[in-house]
Amino acid sequence: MLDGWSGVIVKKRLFFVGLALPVVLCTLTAAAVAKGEPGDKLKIVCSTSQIADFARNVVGDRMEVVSILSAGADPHTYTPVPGDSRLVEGADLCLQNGLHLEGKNWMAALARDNGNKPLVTCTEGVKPLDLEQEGETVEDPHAWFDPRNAALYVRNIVRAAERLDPDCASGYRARAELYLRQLRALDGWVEKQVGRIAGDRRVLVTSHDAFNYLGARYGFKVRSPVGWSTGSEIGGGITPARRRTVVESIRSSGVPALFVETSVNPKLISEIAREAGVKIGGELYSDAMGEPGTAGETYVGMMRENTLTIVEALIEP
Amino acid sequence: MIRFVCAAVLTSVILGSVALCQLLLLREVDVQFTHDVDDHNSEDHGGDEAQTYDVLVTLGFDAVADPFQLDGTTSGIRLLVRADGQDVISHVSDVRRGDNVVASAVSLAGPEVHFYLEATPGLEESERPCAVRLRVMRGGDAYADTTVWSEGYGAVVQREIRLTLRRQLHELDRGL
Repeated sequence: MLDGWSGVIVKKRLFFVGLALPVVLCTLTAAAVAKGEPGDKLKIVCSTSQIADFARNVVGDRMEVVSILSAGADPHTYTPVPGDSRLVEGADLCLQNGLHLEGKNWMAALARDNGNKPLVTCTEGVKPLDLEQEGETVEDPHAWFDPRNAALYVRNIVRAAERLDPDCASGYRARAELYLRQLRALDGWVEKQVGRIAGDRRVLVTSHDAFNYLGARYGFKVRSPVGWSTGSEIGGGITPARRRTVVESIRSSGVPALFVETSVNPKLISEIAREAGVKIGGELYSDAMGEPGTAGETYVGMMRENTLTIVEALIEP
Repeated sequence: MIRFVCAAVLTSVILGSVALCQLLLLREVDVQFTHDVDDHNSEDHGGDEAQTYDVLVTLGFDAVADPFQLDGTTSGIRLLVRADGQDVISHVSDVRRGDNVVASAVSLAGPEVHFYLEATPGLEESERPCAVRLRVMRGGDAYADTTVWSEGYGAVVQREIRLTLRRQLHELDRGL
């Protein structure tokens, strides 16, 4: 039998335990229930920030959209980290660019290795431009630089979202319609701005072959010293012959400016500019968009800023 | 005296003739008008019951495949007309400038009808404003006729229009 004081202490302890236990049990139960609540958003994991921007414009706040690559990152040379695997593990849908933009197919590998997640390639249906590189024909993956191809990305994303969440299909289609109108207006605006550049001055020299679709759409000759990828794949990497060709092309064309890119080391293009005796016209967003809070953090903003940078550098003074 | 009488008679005849002419001119004449003008009876506008009309749309531009349409270039709708929420025209093939697209025997409950109109110009139209003419016809008469314009050069023509269906009178024959 407990003596007087010990008994009181034990009884008090039992009293407080009795008070605390139900509270703890309720909290743990609520946490467990909340974790499995049907209100949790579906999650889309995208390889690049451009695709993430397209996806957000389609799904709005109905789904959570994240991009594996951050602003300024290079998809050609990117190597996934453990955090990316955790991200994909929680995904309901994965989106990639395709056409080997994701060097060594890192996005497809992530989707496969983390629960065989459904993976949609946004360039499906795009008519790719071919690049000839040292006897090899490769497909140019930078298709989004033509807004008409960006529209195709959006359509592929809409179809994927409808399959994933058919109850909200009409909302996704309505958002996509609005966004496609914006892309149409953007296309017309870019054409109008580029129209201010005389035909013989429409030479776009950049760090790597990212702008061929832009060139094809708006009538630029595109030249760059690096092959189609900044990585070590076919055609990637500078060769002396290619560098000589570019310097000669720049000198003979009288192009007024070269451009560096936010996701590529500017050193090479700056050296070529010095050799050719031309100025650096500005920095362009290429494989990645801008940081959050910058003008280039969305696709429309990126295209707008790139266009203005190019036009202001190449237009007759 | 005789002169006086003659003068009086002559004056009376003249005045009487004038009065008679005035009387004849001011008399009500039963003139048959081709159309009633002042009295809007139910035959001149839709009335409240549904009646059938032909809806004609004429484009001032080429509505062709648009790579920015949600359904793509193969199945995207080039021209869409809705009346009171119902699709009246949904054209998926190209429509050329000046072509008339007609929907016959469309049931419309007037006199006021809400139309929604959407037509997509091709990208080649980006340098000019784009217009679409919408007419509602019955028995050869126009009951509504309006033209809508794109907001900007080359932009999609897209508008909701409220039209009152009333027989349009272009000629009046009052005759005397």
